[in-house]
Amino acid sequence: MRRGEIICGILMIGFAVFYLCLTTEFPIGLTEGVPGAGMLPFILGITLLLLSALYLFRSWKKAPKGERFWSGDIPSLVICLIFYLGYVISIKWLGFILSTFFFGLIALKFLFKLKWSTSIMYSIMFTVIFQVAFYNFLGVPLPRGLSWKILSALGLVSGG
Amino acid sequence: MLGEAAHSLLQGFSVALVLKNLWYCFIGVTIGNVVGVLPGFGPVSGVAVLIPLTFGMEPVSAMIMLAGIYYGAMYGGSITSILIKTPGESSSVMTSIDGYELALKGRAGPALGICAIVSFVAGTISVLFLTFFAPMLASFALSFGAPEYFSLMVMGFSAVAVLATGDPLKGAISAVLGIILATVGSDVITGIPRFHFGSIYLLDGIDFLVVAIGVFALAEIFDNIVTKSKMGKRLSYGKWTNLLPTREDLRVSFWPTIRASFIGFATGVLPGAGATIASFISYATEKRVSKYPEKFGTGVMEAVAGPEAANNAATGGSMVPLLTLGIPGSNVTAVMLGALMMLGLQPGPLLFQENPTFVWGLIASMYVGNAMLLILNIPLIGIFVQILRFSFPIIAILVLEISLVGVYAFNNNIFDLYIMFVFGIVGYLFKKLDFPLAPMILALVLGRMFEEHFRRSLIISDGNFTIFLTRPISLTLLLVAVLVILYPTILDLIRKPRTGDK
Repeated sequence: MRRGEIICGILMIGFAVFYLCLTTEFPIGLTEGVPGAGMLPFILGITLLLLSALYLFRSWKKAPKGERFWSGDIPSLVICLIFYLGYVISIKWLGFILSTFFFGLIALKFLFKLKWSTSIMYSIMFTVIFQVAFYNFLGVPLPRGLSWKILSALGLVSGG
Repeated sequence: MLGEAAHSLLQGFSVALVLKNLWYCFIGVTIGNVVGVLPGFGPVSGVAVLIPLTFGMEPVSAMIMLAGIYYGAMYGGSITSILIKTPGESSSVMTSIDGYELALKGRAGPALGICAIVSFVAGTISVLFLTFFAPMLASFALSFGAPEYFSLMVMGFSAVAVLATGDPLKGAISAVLGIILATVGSDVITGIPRFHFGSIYLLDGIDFLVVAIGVFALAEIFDNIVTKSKMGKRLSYGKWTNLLPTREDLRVSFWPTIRASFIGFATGVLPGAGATIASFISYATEKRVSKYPEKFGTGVMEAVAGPEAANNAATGGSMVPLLTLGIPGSNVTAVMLGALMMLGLQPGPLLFQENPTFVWGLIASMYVGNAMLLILNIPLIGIFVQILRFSFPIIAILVLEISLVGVYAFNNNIFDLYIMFVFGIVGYLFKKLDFPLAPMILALVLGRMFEEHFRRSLIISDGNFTIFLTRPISLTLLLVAVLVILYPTILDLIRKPRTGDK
């Protein structure tokens, strides 16, 4: 884990420096007794820089060489992240119904290795439950996209 | 003061006992129970993900439901702790030690029954304390100005950073990152857009709910996928035949419940301490006062009653700083604070004056909710247990999809989904590195107020930073913050000589 902590410390220092650079775009001092919009961010940036440096120093000196940071089933996590990102990206043009159905189906079948019948059953069930609960019951305007066009063409829903 | 509180409480009951609110309370505790039973989906994820369900509701109904989810989930966690030794939440860990041993002895039923009863008793005692202590603290807090609020928040952040974790440095980094996230969007005083990178979506800032769902719900699922802790396993539960506890079970649980109610409430009031620490302290206390401490860990009913009562009493305690000061004491109440703000309410001492119907309706509903939990759980435990038959993949997909639809429903904005996704990864990495997430969420929720009070204080003092040190309450709060930060060091110094003596 030590390497992971050191990398994390370096990344946080980098982020703190980046944030500090951004704060210089705003007034940091007092203007006629009013603190500038950059004052607190500047203080926060300095604080984060100091704390991150301390964390890095401590990780360097003390952290024991224990469990590896990237241990466990990382490939499954990467696959899950790709599927989920695909779900997020596709929701706009595919619509909520189709994207939710396909995400459920693909994730259950290829990530969790469930049977086709189980995957299809749960994918349909969750899609219907969320559509009814959020769209019909709570009135949330879920993205329609291609799903709606297909359902409209089939005469199952009205409106584009 | 007490008579006034009792009178207000009666008015609160007239709100809580309206059929509509009773219904929302019932829905809340039922969903909370289910959420608590789901492995890897604790109260904080449950409350965060289900906030969108409250859209369009009246504030009091919405909060009654969310509070119901909170304490329903606290109880639900004990079901899995006892039956399969899988605590749904860290506060149920101590319950699982002896609870599971009891289940192995075929006494899961009485253990679950005791949990339901002590949860009701401790929950009711803690709400009773809340009823009388909250108004006192609120009237005291009325004298607070901007510097006092700033110092109070510094104290709250320090307490959460130090007490909520074993590592103050990581807690502090998490809190600072949370405030940094809160600086995104229009400046609170001048309206200047900051750190938005040209995106119109970031002009309004980053919503706490989007981050909370990412770092809590998504990160939990990602972690379970990597560790394969629950994947592919069809969760099974032990056999239980007799549900009701015996008279002896009730007798031995009486004093542990009373002690744990006090411990739980007092610990819950402290920012950052919360239900988990309360259950640990209660377990340790019961073991210390027990006539047979060596039996703890082998299936002792007191060891189930104490921690379970403590973690439920802590829920009432944690509502005190939330309602009176607007400072949440735990990650769940941090999420609830965000929900309150979304509902257009500003938690703090004025809430008692400006929205008495809301506050007292909510408090009264907690009595009703505790009673509902008892009524619901005794006969329905068998049904809740059926939830354990779902395998992890089904729960994972359910959580991933409900997180997405919940975040989308919040602002009807797809950009929020990308933010949630990014924070899901951040939350997972933080979890791996043992960084606490509660300080970040707390700081994100309070960040804008924190900056506002900081800058208003400087405006009042014409730019003089000593304003925080020259006002007695502010100075006291800052001193407490320093003490809290130094607490681990002081504890080490006290322990070292003792160890040396031995």
